[in-house]
Amino acid sequence: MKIILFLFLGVLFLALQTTVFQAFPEWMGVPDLLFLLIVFLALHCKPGTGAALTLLLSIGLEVFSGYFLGLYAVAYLLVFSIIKWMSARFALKEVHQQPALAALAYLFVNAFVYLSSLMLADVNPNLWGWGGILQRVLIVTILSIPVNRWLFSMMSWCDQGLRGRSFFRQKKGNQYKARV
Amino acid sequence: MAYERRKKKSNPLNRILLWVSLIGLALIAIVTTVGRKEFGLSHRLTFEALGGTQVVFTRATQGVSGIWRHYLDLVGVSQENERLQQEIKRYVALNAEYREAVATNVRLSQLLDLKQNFDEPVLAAHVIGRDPALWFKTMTIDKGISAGVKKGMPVVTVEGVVGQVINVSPRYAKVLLATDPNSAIDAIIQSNRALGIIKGDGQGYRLDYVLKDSAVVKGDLIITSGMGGVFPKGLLIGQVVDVGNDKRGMFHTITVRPAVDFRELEYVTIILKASSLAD
Repeated sequence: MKIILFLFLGVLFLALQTTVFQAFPEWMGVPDLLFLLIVFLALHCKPGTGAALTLLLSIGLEVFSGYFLGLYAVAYLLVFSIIKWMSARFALKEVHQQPALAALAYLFVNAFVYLSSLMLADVNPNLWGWGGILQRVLIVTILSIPVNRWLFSMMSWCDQGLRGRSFFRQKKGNQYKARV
Repeated sequence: MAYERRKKKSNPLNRILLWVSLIGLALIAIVTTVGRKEFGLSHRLTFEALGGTQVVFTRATQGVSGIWRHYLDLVGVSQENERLQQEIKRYVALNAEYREAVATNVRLSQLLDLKQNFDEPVLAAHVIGRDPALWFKTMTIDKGISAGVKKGMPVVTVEGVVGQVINVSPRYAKVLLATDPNSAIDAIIQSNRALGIIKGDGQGYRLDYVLKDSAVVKGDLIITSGMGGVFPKGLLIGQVVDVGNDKRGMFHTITVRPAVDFRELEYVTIILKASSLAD
């Protein structure tokens, strides 16, 4: 159920980023919600499930973005693994850690994709622009806490929904009490 | 019996083997795709599945922006009474519809003119999505293999060159815009016929390999040379906005402003010519 929810959210974010957000004025930038979802998956999902979701969503992203295939898959899986490894050792799930974590991870992903495409390009080097990247980092940083909270509440809602179903529901009261 | 079954179920070796196989398969899948430019089956399937979502969102965005425009049109209108307001709203909506119809008419006439300029058949396509990344300039269109679109076909508008088709699925295609750093188009300066190569720099173009002995001035028009075999000769690419005066090197440093406003692109024309993109 949670896998379907996150997959649905990923597709929704991807569709928003490639359509609706593109209509925003240039100074507003394009919020990378898919990236924030992947950071959330790294923090709160089991390694196998989270990695599988990350791989699927990154394949979805590279269908619509970029010239070389596989870069996003590798970049996002690397970020997923690093955050997963770090979250087992440090208190990364704390709310106040989210902005710094999102900003650093976003810089890492962009640097990785930029350098990889630079190496794979035949003749023409890409042009790293600090203005654009800092704008995106700022947006991701600002959105990291609200998006993380919203995703957490969605996950909790999903868990409660599962528990609320009769199949999963625990019987209340004394089960062994004789009925008169 | 039940205890043995549980014991068998929780055997860690089986789980480790399962995970190792899954991770191995995932790694093989990733390694085989890294650096490739052509879509495999998984990418094609994803493209087909997600392309529809983009269509829905693009239509919704256009609908909402249409409503927003109507609202803005009505801001200055005096609200004398309910009947007049309804009347005005109706006329404004009607007017917007007429305007849209006129705009469509103009666009279709231009497409028709454009179509007559080419020997090859052309196909109009709707832009349904854009690249969300900073480093790449691509867009998605709503025509694919089923409409005759193939990899390498040039994409243009009445204003000029847009780019080339780089990936196709049955109903959608991905276009590499001419402003992408991975794009290169053979070009010619219209005034002095000097040859060069137009390369994307993310926002506009650079015209490379133009010798310093050729006179280039601000305002010169850059057109396709037809030498690459992809774009027909004579299509407008852009206009020179800056000529660098670096004394070193053999070539000019020329900045070109695109003739096409890529942010405003709604419809494009694909020239259905039988040429392939150089891999």
